[in-house]
Amino acid sequence: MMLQLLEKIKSILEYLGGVSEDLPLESLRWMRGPLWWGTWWAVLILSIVAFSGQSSKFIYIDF
Amino acid sequence: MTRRTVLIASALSVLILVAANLLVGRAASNSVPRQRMRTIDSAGPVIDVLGIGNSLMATGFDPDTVERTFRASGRPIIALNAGLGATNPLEHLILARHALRQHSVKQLIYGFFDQQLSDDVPLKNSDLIGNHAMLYYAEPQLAVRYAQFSWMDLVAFQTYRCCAMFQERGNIWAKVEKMRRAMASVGMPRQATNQFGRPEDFDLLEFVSPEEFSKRCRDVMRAGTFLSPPIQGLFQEANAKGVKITVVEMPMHPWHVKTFYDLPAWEEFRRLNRQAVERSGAAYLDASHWIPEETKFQDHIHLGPSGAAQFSRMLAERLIQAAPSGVTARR
Repeated sequence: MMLQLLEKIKSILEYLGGVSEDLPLESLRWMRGPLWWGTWWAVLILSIVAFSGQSSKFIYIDF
Repeated sequence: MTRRTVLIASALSVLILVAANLLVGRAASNSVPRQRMRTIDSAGPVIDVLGIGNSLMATGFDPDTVERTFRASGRPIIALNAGLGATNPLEHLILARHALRQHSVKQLIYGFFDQQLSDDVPLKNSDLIGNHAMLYYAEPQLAVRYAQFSWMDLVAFQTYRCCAMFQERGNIWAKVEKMRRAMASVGMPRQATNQFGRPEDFDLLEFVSPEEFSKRCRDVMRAGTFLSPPIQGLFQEANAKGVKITVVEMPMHPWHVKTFYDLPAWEEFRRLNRQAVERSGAAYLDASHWIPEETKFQDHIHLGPSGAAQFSRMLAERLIQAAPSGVTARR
């Protein structure tokens, strides 16, 4: 049961990462559409902007 | 994935990023540098005493106390604190120009510590986060002139200027950092914070040893570069407008004074630094020992409210003594 769940998660992540083009579950058909991919790519880019590139020893925050 | 899917998805991504860019720009419309510039804008036509500097000045210069002290001597004035935390002389030059453009400034108080007047570190585009981000939108031509960018940093600087999401990335990072700190504090004893964050973080800004501090003093003395180009620019701008400049060696924590300012190298550095300041037409005021009580500091660098009030009162008294009738302006 747990192994199957892990397999499913792995295949979903592979699909999201572009490793596989086969949709892991039929119930995730909506992930095939351009609306999903456009949103997903934008979320990834925004996450990169928000979480990477900090170069100072500590972030000086003016509270 | 079909070609059509890729095209539509790409267009949607761009649309979402443009919307995010607008949102970040809107969220940053009240950023600290913009607030400071609005404070300057909202002052009357005459500013009698204008405080400029980094966070030492932002926390240490109390305009209400300065005004009260002047008023008590029968001379009402307008004092304004344009100090901005985590900034360098380049940002101070821009803020001073901003004030001088719109107001008649009688006296400019420039607060500094350590070798700040001579620090002329070449900037990289990646350094321009937090309050340094003002270099993207407030007189960017000065950043290009003084920052000594490499050509790659220059290209990055000009590119980042067009996008609020890049310009104000420090604001996003600050929010992420606050979230990280909130998550890290779950189940932990409460950490002390002040206006600028965790006090112990500011220990990182101190020199690692008295030897390092003395070496930096000696390096500057050897090179003879006591006043960095942005500081020289600031003094020239003020002198051209007939503004009296007083450079103040800001009160420092007793630990800092004992560890660094009592060193022979600093004594020699201070003497030459003062001469360089006075040669450029400014007065020099050593206030580094004015606040000997640790309790009047909120961390190793910044004065607390009571220390700021004491420093500002003493500063105002000195200004009154130095210019018995010159500083005030009738409104």
